[in-house]
Amino acid sequence: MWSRFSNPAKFEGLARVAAPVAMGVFAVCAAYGLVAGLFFAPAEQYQGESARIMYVHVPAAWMAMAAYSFIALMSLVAFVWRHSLADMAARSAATPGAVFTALALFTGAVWGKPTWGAFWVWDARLTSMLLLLFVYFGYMAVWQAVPEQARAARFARILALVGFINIPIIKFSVEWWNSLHQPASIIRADGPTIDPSMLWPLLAMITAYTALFTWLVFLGMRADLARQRAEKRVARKASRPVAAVTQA
Amino acid sequence: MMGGLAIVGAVLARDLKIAFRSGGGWFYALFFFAVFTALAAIAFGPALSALAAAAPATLWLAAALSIQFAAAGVFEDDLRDGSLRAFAAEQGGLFHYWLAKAGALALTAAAPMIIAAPFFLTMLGVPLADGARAALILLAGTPALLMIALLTAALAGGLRAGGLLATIIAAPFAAPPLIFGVSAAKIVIAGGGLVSPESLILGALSLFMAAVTPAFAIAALHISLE
Amino acid sequence: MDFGSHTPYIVVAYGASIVALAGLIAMRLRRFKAAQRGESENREAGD
Repeated sequence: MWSRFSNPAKFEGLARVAAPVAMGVFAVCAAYGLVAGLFFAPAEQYQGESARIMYVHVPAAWMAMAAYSFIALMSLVAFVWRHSLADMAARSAATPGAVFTALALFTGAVWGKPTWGAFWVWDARLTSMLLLLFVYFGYMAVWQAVPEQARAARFARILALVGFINIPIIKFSVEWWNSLHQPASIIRADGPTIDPSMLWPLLAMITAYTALFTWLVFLGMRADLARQRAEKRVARKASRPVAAVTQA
Repeated sequence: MMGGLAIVGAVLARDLKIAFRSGGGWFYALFFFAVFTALAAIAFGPALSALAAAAPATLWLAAALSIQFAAAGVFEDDLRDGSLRAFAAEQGGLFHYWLAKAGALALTAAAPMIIAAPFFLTMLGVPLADGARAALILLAGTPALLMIALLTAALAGGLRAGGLLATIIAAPFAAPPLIFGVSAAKIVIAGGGLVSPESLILGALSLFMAAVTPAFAIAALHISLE
Repeated sequence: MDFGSHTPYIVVAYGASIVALAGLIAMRLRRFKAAQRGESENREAGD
């Protein structure tokens, strides 16, 4: 499975099919989730209407973690099997991941004002989300700071992996430091506790965000591959006249 | 070919000699620590009771930042003059070199700071005996701070704006030691024992960082050589 | 859209999400189009 798509040409073939599918899933799920979340789902019993922010907050927070896990997984693949496509995938995931993290923080703050009475409280989840944003910044900064892509990729792999090891430690520390937030209510051992009328829009939005992320990663990778091919062609062309001269 | 211990000794001796001879080096970290503490006191205001409440946080922030800055350029000279390449060619690779660098940084940057910590804490309104015990907590957490600083220095070594980049990368790593270091120091200053869940976790963080980060740091140094 | 006193919070949260994600999509599409254009121009000029 891996080796099949590690070939750039075969990957292009996959991306050409998968990217539009992901875009379609995103469009349909987002359209349903937005309308259902804003208008059809009932207001929440305790928090009232402001709980509708959940439909944009929870998917962003989920994708913030999922995108970083994806970066770490791709970095591991690149580290072990030395596939440059995996580096490309990790790099393409960084900007969307950081945007999702920032959105999770922002929507969390806006949700916090009517719920806690303040935009920002240093609760465990908001704080570890903020630290995750800093992890993203560091990862993106390494890609920016090294001019040669192949070298940047190797630094980025190391940082992504060691950063991933660090995330559970951050979560544990911050929870120790302060825990005020409500416990997670979607994924629990005894099953979902929220009402189906709220669960369906939420699941739709989570699917939409995941599909959007997939689409954006494919798009970013295809752009990188096209640029790489163009650069190679320029390099080949530049070397040709020189070769002709030396032969003559 | 040199033996592993010989490399550690040679690099350590060379670095210590450079640090002392140049008259800078070894006390820059301590100097930064002192300046930061004084600035914090000026910012918080002169009331000793308020300063004492902020003392553990001030101590740990000063320690984390001064170690981070002391480590920022630690690999740069060896990268530039090619001696890092020579060490990488030795048997055992860069591990011994890395060990010597960690030792040099611990002796020149961390040790003077830990020794000076009780005195700075008295200036922040903490009794000397409590300050000495808070310095022991700092000792337990310093390895974690050193490992993070060395890892980020290796990742950012030889890059433009490397020091700033290293600090950005280090920020999320530094949060756990700060959290447990400050809470353990607070417990000690409030009259609690040296052994608390917080100080044990702090020690565990130091051990964990010492076990995990060297491999990554050495891998990063190898990439810098290419 | 009327969600009582919570209306501004909901509008800001949804608005910011939509604007940020639309910006992200636009940025990626532009980069993709530019890369494709660069590749095809290159092909016409050479070969």
